[in-house]
Amino acid sequence: MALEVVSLAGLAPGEVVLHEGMTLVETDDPLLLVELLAEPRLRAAVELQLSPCAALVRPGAGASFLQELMKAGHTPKVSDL
Amino acid sequence: MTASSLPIALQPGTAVRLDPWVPHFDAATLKQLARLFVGTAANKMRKEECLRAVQGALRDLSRLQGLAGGLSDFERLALHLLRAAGGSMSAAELAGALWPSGHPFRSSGYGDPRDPLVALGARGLVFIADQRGTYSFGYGSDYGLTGKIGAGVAFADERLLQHVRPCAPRPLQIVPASPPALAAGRRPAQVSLLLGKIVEGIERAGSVPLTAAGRPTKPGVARVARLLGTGELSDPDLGVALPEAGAFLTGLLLASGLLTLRPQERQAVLAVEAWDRLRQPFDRQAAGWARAYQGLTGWAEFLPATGYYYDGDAVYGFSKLNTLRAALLTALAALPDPDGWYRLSDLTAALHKVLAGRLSLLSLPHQEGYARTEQEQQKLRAEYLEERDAVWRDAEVPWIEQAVRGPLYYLGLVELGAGPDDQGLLLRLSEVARAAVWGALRGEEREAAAPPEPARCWIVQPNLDVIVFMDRVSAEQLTFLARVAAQESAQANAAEYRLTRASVYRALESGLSADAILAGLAAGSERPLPDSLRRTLADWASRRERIRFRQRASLLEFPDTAARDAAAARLGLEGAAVGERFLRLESEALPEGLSLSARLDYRTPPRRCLTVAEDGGVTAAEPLDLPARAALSRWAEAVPDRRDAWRLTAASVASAVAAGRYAEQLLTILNDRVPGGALPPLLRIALRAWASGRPQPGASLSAETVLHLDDPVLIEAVPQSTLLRGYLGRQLGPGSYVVSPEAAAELRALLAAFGVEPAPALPAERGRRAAAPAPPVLPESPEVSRGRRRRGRW
Repeated sequence: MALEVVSLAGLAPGEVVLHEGMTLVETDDPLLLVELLAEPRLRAAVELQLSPCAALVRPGAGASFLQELMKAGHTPKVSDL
Repeated sequence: MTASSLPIALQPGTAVRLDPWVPHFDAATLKQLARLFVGTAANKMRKEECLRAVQGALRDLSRLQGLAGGLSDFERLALHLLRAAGGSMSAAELAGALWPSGHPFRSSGYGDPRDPLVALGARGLVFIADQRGTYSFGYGSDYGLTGKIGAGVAFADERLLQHVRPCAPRPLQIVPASPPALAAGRRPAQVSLLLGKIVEGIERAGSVPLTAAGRPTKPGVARVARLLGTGELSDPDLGVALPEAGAFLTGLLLASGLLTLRPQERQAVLAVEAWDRLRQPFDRQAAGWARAYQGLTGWAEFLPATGYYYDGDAVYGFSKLNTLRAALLTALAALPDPDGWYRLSDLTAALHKVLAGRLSLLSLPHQEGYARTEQEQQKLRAEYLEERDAVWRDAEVPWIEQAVRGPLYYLGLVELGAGPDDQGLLLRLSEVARAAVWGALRGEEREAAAPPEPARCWIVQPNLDVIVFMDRVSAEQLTFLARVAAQESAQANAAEYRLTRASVYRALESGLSADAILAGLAAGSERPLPDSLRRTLADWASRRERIRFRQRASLLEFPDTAARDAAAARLGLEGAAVGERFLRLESEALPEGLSLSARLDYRTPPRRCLTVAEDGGVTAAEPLDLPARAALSRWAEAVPDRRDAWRLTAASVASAVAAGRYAEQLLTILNDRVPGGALPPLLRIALRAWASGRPQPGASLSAETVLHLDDPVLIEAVPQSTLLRGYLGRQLGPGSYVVSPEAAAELRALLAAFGVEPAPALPAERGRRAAAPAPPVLPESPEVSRGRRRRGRW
């Protein structure tokens, strides 16, 4: 099952929330993200999709996600931020 | 001699200044130290005066220069060794390095007068500290006849060491042999390539695991060995072997500092400068490998079969091996001709002269016994020497041979040869060892022959194989290749690498650009690079740009797109928009003026801020992280006009399941965020049941007929009746039986036929039965009472 871009309840006017230390995967093309998430092992490590090209990897599952990504033949550019 | 404790633990390789130590020295020690600078005038000085004199002299350049200029050759060599080691080194290694130096020394101190450290200590030049900070002066350590070697660290003041000129050991009294008919040696590039492969393997694995005692674990060592392919290094044709190569290489990397111990984390990790060290010129690397070999622990060239029992762990504390290695390296530096070939037997005999009787892997014999006459004394002496030489033959001779055929050969420090006559095994210093071992003690910067500049030492083939010519390649070029290509094979003359998508990806990830890879390959290539390489590299590099994996990104969440864009413009936020309401920050620093409502860190466990009620109500006490909010939006109904409340219902759960989700995902999210980690048990059952669409089994509520017999006469008679027994089902208690609804009417009729008229129900007694767990007692119906009264007892 593909992930839909999640629609989260909004914040109240004036509120700003910082989410830090997140593991994100981004693609240059929405279809590529769909293709990645069609892979069950990758899909299982993804918590939610934030946009058509960005998804949040489940906290603690970053290393296994990266490993599976590379095992599937992808060569992601890895960075801290 | 004096010994005191200082709160200073000293590690080998540490530069030391005596200033914090001297106030703790006792009067005799200070007087001895003061004599170094003021001569015999110190004899009349009191302790405080000696202290001031020493402290002043240590800050006085001319006095330090004067002292350094007046040192004997023996003292110069000792201090030069300390200086080369960084200011301090294992006392066991220093003693071993000094014994074969051939320089005489005179000891006026306490202890074994043949101990070089005793002589240095008595002069006040060298001190020995153990790991607790205790220092000794004058005694040195306990070497020699007892065979015990201390674990102390020898040191001298770094300001004095700076002014010490190098000093070579005296040449050994051995003569060169005829050049061999057959010779073999490891090229520096081969050694560098081997060690680079191990370093790369450890880098990929992340670390080498350690035991609680801080030593590499056996599986960790085995993993290092597997990096060699076969796990061993040996060549039976050449008669060379490095047994337990995994333990050797692990110990070597630890001793060299390329692996750094992290005992708290129970792992050893690559030092930051590991690759920089492997890029150094080969002769500098060789000097480092020689020092590391001398100091490595946890591996032995050879251990005699008799004598002590050494298990694998005991080898770690066995510093005699380090002493012997230091002695062997000094002996190599004392070869008369650095380019000459020598018989191993001659080298062994030369070491025998200086080491036999002082140190052995076995227990040394005692030169004891009462002799009444000169003849008896000579006889005892002869017996002692015979016994001592037997120990040497059993222990040190095979140890030296294995050291030469194993680590010294595989580290590229010696070349081995045989023939043409029956000269036994021949050896000579390799080109890098002539600079790193022989020349280093003479202060000669004998550089190994530099490769032609610029070195064109490989060919890149159209199929992306790289053939490397080992005679021309430099350490830096090998390190570059190890970074960008996968090693396929390595021989003495040529090595084969392959540029693969994975190897290039690793190079790009390590910070090299595609252009830098091409430029590096072109710089070392004998021929123009194939066009296919340029196209392939460009393709691989562009594929890497398509997916970005961010390991600790920061997102700012705003109420809507307009608020996000306005804040970004107002505060000058640098970042990229993600979706409609998020902004991914480009740096960790938060801009000034940004006021946060909440800050959630995903590297720590989620906050337990959810309250979940038995009826499915969910309330958040503080802002929730995105996974929790997403889960609740999928699994629960939002409570109108509340941003912090939801309700889990059968319909909402069924809807989420219908969309392909699993109840376990929800349960994990909730459990991680509920105080105590436990949902109300009934809700947990409900969630599973709602999700599966199947009621939870295990409970029953029946509408069965119960025949209750209140009268003891009936209790006895009815179950015994062959007519009635077939109607009775499960017994619930004394006189209570389940009767199937279909048979109830028949039974009632039958009972009536026998004059028993059951009451139609069990009124009002349920509460009483619940209060008292005693056997159920049903109220008597008027009919039963009447019947009993009418018919009396049977």
